[in-house]
Amino acid sequence: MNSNPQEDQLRDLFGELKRADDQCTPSFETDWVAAGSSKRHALFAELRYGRLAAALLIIVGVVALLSHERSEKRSMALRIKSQPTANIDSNAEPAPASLDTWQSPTAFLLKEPDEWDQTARPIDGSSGLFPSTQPHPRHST
Amino acid sequence: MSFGAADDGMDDQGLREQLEKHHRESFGWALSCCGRDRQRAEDVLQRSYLKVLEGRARYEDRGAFKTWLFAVIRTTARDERRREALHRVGLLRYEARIRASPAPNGDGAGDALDRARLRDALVAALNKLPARQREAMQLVFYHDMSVSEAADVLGISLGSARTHYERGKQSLRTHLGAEGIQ
Repeated sequence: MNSNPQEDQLRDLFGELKRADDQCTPSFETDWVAAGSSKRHALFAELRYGRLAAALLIIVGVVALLSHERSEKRSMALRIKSQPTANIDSNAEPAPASLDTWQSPTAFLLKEPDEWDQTARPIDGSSGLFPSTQPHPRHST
Repeated sequence: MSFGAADDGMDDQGLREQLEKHHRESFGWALSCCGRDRQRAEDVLQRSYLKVLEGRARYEDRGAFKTWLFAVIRTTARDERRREALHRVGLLRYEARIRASPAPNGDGAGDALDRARLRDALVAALNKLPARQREAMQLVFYHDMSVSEAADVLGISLGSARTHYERGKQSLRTHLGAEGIQ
């Protein structure tokens, strides 16, 4: 690079700045030691964070285990409560039939007369079939 | 010369020798990257050494060690700047203080200005330059680097570095002229 007077002047100015900076440059030892201690601090910080994370994990695990056990106990108690008590009280009414099998007491009216004998019983409790075998008096004459 | 894992004792020793050799220059460059703030420059230099020690910055035998180290310092200073946005307030105060200082008489730099004022005038003029031009000026005139080496430090092409260098010189002369330094 060719130098010219203007560049030389700039170089002188920068040289002056450099001399002043040199006087206040910290020693290499200071900065090197500081960097080394920062490295150690960073290492310790990492270790600290590692320990903290491990402790948190353990706490979360214990809490999860306890809550799981508690919910197990609760569901067990609910299951015991909902068990049928038939063995204890034999005179208790039978459990109501489900909706799928339930029939209205007058459902037989919707059926054909020849089906009545299979589904209905006379109200008076007689064993005879009613009324498919009994022709109506009005029709018989 | 190649520095591998920072945990290796041999490499650490070589690394230390190289860093110690360039320490003064590195501090000067850190000062430039930190707006002439000595405290920050020292922090940046220590962080740069830490990066090298931890192996986060690795010299891989490409180009000069000094060029690589300067690039590390520059990157560290830039990261630090981003982190410490509040520091800009301090820098603005510093610039205001420089501007508030009385203007020189203009009887020639050597007669009218003492050395301290010359330095202040140069720093003030440098602070008025765009970052790239300021960096190019610092690398070439302060650290005696070639424009090509400056381009390596700045991570830009040689042509771009030349442009910054020429424009920087021109602007610096203009600003110094305004300060009475012809």
